[in-house]
Amino acid sequence: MKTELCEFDLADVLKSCTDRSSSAFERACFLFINKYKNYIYKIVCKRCSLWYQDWPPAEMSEIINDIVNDIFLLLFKRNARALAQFKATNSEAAFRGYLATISDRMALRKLQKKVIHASLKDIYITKERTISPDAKWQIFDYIVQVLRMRAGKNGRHIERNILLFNLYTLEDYTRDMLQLPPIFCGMGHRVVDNVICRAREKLTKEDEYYMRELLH
Amino acid sequence: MSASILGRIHEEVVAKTSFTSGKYIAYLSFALQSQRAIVDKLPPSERERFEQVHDLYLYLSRDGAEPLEIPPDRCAEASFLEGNEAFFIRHLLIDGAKNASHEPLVRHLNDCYGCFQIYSQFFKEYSLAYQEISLMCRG
Repeated sequence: MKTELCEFDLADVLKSCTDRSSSAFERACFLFINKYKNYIYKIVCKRCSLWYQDWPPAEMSEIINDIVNDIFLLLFKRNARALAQFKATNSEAAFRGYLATISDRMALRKLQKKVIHASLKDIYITKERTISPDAKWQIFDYIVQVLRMRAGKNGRHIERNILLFNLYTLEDYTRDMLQLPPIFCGMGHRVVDNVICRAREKLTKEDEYYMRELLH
Repeated sequence: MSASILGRIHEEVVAKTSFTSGKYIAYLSFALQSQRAIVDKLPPSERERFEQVHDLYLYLSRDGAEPLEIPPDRCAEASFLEGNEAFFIRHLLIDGAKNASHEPLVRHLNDCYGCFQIYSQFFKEYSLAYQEISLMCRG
């Protein structure tokens, strides 16, 4: 296998990986995964270490492995579209850069999703002790970004609704507490529930949008 | 009390405030809404502080007081809301009562995580203190 890896031609391998009918398809996939799995693993490791900093969870290696698997699934999805999109096939360095970008973004996205989905289920974020302050800020930023982007042109009270959702989800505000700030004056419980439900839907659907955008 | 003295109290209170003062503003809010003297419910060590907050409220609610200014962007070093008791008094007890527009503030809270946290913490303290006061007054 060492010899095979030495003879690895990026352009050929990428071309074969994107052509299921090719006789070299399986071999190419095998070579590709063997060559880059450690590289992707290191990138994901680094991202997870930054995320958890001083409090890595016990299941950290499981989390990393899951993310690495998801990255490979993404790369080979839809006839390896992500690989087909890469054009500078004469440059190994450029390809590693491309892989690194996808891997890091995917890792970050998965880590954010772990926390957001926990809060979407009304579970208080008990893992917040294991998340670095920098990561909490990133989750906040991510939620704001997504909800602004998916607000729609005619959305009313966009900013107010985002704030309400963040107080409810990230700061564990109850519906009664949400009555206190003057910003939410006049919002009944039913309106609050609607705002929260819609925000959850948008964040849950975000995966689909994100995968499309990640590959552009 | 003259405007200059109140202005000096304002500066002193702002300088002394370390984090949020949800508790004191909750007492003040209760006193204003219920028209009842509430300072006797506070421990003696906290009464002076409460009086300062009350005086600050009077200063901020005078005619011709400057409007609330919200930073347009995310705060760089120090959060705008850090130790900003005057803001919370204006926001909750003065502008809140006038149905003022909160759009610039809301935008800022969504842009600035530091201010978002301070705002959240303030209302948590306020909520807790208000519940305690209500129980105290009932009992």
